[in-house]
Amino acid sequence: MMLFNELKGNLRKDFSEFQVKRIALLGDSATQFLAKAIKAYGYEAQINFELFEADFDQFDRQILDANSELYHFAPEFVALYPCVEKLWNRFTVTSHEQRSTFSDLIISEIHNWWQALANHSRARVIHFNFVECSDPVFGHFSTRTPVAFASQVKRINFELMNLAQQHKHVFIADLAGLAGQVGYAHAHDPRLYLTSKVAFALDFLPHVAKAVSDIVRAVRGNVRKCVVLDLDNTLWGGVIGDDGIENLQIGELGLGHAFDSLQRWVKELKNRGIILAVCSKNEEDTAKQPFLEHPDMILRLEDIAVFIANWDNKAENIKRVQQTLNIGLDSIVFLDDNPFERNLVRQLLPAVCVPELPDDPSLFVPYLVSLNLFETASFSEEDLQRTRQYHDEARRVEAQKSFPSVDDYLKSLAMVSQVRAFDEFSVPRVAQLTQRSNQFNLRTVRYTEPDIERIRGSDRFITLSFDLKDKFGDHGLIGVVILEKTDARTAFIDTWIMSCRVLKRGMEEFIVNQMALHARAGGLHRLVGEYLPTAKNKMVKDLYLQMGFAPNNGTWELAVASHSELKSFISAV
Amino acid sequence: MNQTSEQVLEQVSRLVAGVLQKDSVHLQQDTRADQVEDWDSLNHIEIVVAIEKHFKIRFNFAELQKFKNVGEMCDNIVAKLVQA
Repeated sequence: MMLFNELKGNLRKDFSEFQVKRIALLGDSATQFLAKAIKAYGYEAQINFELFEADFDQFDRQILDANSELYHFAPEFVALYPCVEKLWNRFTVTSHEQRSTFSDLIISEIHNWWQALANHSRARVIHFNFVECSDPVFGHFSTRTPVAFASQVKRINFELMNLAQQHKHVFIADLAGLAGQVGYAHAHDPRLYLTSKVAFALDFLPHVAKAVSDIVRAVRGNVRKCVVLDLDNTLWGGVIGDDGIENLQIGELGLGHAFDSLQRWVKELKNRGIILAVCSKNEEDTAKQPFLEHPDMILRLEDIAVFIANWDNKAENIKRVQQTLNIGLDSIVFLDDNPFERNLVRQLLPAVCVPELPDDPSLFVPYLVSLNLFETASFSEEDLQRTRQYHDEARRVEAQKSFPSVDDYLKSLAMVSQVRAFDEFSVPRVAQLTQRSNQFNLRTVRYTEPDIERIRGSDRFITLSFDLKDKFGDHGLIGVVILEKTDARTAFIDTWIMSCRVLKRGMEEFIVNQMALHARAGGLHRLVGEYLPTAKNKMVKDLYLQMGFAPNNGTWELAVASHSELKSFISAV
Repeated sequence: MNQTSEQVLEQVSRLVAGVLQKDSVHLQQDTRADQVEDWDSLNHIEIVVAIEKHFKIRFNFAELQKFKNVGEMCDNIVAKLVQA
C-alpha cells in the first residue's frame, strides 16, 4: 500500500476526467487527513470525490436535522466514522450497571442515524465499524464478562452487521478487519490523537481511503467479474510441458502447498460467482491434463468457464475470453507469474487489472487478498450459478452449428420466459442488474434495493422482470423494465436492461411485445423510449430504431394500439 | 557517522519543503513554525512523521510539546542519532 505522503502527491493531479461522487464525511475525531486521503485515493480509483467535511462531532446535528448543511450538500455517499478511542472515553464514564448494555445504547444511536439518513436523503451510508483491540483492563477475561469494553465493542460490531442486512442503503467499512491486517500499533498513533485528535496513524489512512473507494466503486457497478489464470508457476509449480504431470509442484511436492492455497482461494472466488478462465502458453491437451488427472488439483476442469491454451499472445487471448463472456475488460483480473506477460497485457489492455504478483508463491494469496479486488455491493443466488450458465452457453454455441438457419435453432431451444411485476424475491436481483449492467442498458439509472421497493409500491410505475429458460438450462432473471406513467397516455421507459448473456435470441423483441401489452392493459397509448449514451452502452444505440420505434425530438415512440407483434420464438408463461 | 546539527538542518529543510509541497524552504536554527508559510498544526504532524521516518527515530510526546524552534528539534535529532 502507498504511504500517506506518496498518496498525497495525487492531489496535484488532474481529476477532471473522472466521474464526480459527492461524499460527506462525519467523525468525532479530526478528519482532515482522512478527507485528504479519500480525495487523493480517488485518483487511484478514478473517482473525482467532492467532499463535505462536517465539523467535529456533529453526527446528531447534521444527520437528524433535515435542513442541515449535510443535506444541502446533497451527498451521494455519507461516511460515518465514530472512533473507538472516543467510544472508550464514553464507556469509562458509563455507570457500572449500564456497561453490560452499553452496546444497545450505541446501536440504537447508530440505528437512529441510519434511519434519519434514509428519510432525508437518497445517500448510501458507508459506516466504519469500530477497531477492535485487546481489553485495556480485563485482559483475556473480557471475553467472559459483558462489562468489559472489548466485549461491548465486539457486540456493537456484531450488531452492526445484523442491522446493515436490514438497511440496504448501508455498507459497513470493516475497519476492525483492516486494523487487524496492519495491527493497532500501525493503525493508531497515540501522539497524534493526544495532540490533535487525529485517530488514524498517517500511513493507515491510505488503507481506510481505499476501503471507501472500493465500496463506492462497487456501488457504482465497477466490479470485477472474472479471473484469467496463467498455469505454469502460477497455478502450479513447474512447467507441465517440460516437467510432466508427475513432477508438478502441487500438494506435497516442493512448493506445492503455496499453489494449493492459491487454488483454494480461486475456487472460493468461483463459488462466490467470479468466473474463472485459463490462458496458458501450452498445447491444450497438455494444459488440461492436470485438471483432469492430478489428484491434488483443487481446481477441476468444470470450474473453468473458458479454457484457452495456445501460443498466441496473452492480450489476444484475454480479448477472446472477454468476447466469449461478454464482459468489460475492466472487470477482468489477470494473474501471471511472468513479468513479461504482465507488462504485455498492461500495455495492450490497460483496462485489465494486472496485480504485480510477488516472486515468492507463498505470498500470492496474502498479497492478492490485501488488494481486495472483488468488492461487491450485492450478492444473490444468481451469482452461485454463474459458471454453470457459461457452460450451458458453450453447449448452445455447439448446438447452433447443426441447424440450417438461426430461426430453426431458436425454435429448437424451446425458450420460455416468466414475465412478472417485481416482487419481494426479485428485488435484490433487479437492483443488482441496475447497478451492474453497463452494456445493454438504455439509460443507466442505478437503483438500490430501497429504490426498487419504492418503485414497486408506487402506482406511477409498471414493473416487469423477465427470466429465460431453454432446453439447455436456466438463465435466471435477465431482463428488467420500468415503465413510468408520465401522463395519462404515456409509458416512459425509465429503465430497460438486459443481460448480455441472452443477446440475439429474440429477447429484445419479446420484451417490446410485453411492454406494449402491459402498456395497453394499463390504458396507455404510447411507449416513449430514450437512449442516454455512456462509455459502455453503444450496443443499444440504435435499439429503438431496430425495434420499430419512431424518432421524436431525441426520444423514440411506439403507438401501442397499432403495434404488431415482433417476431420472437419465446413464449411467455 | 555522526551528523552535525547543520547537516540535520539541511535534511529537515528538505523534508519540510516536501510536506509543504514547496520547491525549497530555508530554515535557520531559530526559525519557528509560525514563521513559515503553511506550517500549521496539521502540516506539523506530517512534518514530524516525515522526520521520524527519514532519520528512523521517534520523538516522545513531551519532546513534541517542548521544541520552541527548528534548532531545538535538530539538536534533539542529533542527540538521538548519537545514541542510535
